[in-house]
Amino acid sequence: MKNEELKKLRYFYFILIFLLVVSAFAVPYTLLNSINLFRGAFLFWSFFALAVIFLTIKITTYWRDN
Amino acid sequence: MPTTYLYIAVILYIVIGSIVALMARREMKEGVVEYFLSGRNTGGFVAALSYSATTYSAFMMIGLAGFTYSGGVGALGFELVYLSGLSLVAFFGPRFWLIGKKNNYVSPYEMLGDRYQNQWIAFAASLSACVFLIPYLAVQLMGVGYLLSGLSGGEIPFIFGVAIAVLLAIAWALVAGMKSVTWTDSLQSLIMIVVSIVILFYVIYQHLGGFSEFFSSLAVLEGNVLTVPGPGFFKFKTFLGLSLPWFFFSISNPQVSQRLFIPRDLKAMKTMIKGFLLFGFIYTMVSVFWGFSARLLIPGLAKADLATPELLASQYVPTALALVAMIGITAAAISTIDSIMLTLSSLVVRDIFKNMDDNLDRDQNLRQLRTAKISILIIAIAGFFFAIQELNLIATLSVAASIGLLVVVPSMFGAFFWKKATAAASLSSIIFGSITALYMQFSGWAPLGYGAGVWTLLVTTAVFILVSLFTQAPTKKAEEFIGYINQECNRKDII
Repeated sequence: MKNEELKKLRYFYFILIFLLVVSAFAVPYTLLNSINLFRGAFLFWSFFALAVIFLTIKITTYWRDN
Repeated sequence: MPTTYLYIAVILYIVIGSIVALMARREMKEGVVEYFLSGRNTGGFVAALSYSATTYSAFMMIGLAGFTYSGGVGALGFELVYLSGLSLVAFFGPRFWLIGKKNNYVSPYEMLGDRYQNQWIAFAASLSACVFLIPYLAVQLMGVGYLLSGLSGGEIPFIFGVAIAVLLAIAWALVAGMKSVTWTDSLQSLIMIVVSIVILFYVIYQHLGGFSEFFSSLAVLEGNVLTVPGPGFFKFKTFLGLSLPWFFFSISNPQVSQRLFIPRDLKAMKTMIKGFLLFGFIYTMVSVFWGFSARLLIPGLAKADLATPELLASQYVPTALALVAMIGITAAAISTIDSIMLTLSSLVVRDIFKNMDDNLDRDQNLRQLRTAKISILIIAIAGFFFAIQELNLIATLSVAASIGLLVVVPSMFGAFFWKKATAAASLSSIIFGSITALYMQFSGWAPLGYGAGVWTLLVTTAVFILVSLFTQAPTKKAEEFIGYINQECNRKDII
């Protein structure tokens, strides 16, 4: 892959993960702080982690051993 | 629980683990790279299990369960923010691996010293790692001590558990270096995950009416435990101060970042990352569920760290399951301890007492290995004495260690991504960062309500950037180092 293309992808994934991490701090303390149920902060953080795991694995799928 | 059963379980664990360690020794070849990095030839599966066992310590089932017990769902957020920090490995992992192989780096700080062309950086970072990781190691030892003593109702003295843990860790690190550590780690991580899942399902289905009723029971507890700040511990500033240092764990902790040098190839590294993420997610969930289960079944404990030992010793968990759980937690502690000891010994050999005419010939290898083995013993003794002081609150101490290690994070970013980063910046950021971390932790000073984690990261980053702007970068080395990585990344589609 070309350098420019890789750089774009790097920024893309970096920003996506960064936004997810910011949401992990912001959302449970603001939007979900009154929902004392499984579908509140518990579910949100679980989905957040799964999303970051998915993106991390996705990044590794580009790699080629040669 | 009858003490005899505990002794039998511990002896079985020692025997099986030692057989695995000895098997590793039969496969071991000669040399420093073999001893510290298992010859850079570890397969993905073993690398994943070893990475998991090293990262996840007794903190999970004791400290994190305790945090959940007293602080509610915030503990889950804290630990999952940490897990999300593993996304950094998708960027740093292949770069570490590429340049490590090319320049034959053994320790991550040796890499920093070479990249910035200043041996004092490796020296300062290694010294700081020793200062912060020995207490972390001691905390793991204490975990084993408390567990055995708690489960036996005080019959097995605290110091006995600590001594067993330290002796096993020494043995398994010395037998075949990284190979015996990764092999015993693999066994131990399998024990950790299988055992913790089994006991969790048992407790939730046998005593708490299944997952749906479990959450309904949590929702009616006093203190809104399914929200943050909930019962009060996880106020936003506390949450940020705890989570931030842990987010950078994968590049700040040398026992973990050194593991980025060990995979056989990129495919093995992919498997390592995938395996770890899966392991981490499950183990985090299990530990948090476990803490909540304790909150429901045995409320009102004065010390949250006792939630797990007390629950295991209660009538809710059958003796056989409690015994395997105890082994699972002991395994989590020991797999972290021996890895830390091995990594610290590599820092001592390669960075603190570095021989500048290093040519890795046979004599040099022998000398370095001898120094490494002596260092492992000294580090173990230091950890042991720290542990038997019995300082309070296991989780807080564990987090304190991560704060101190944050000081290398800007230098790591600079090494790979910023050609203008300078040696003076790296060295001063490590020194000022360490002073900030130490001072704030000892004094308890928290400007604007933010603790040492946030300020250490801010100070160390600011110093790194500012000093880089006003000093001269090692341009030739930076071009060579980053140039090589970029070229290989382009060839291998590494983002």
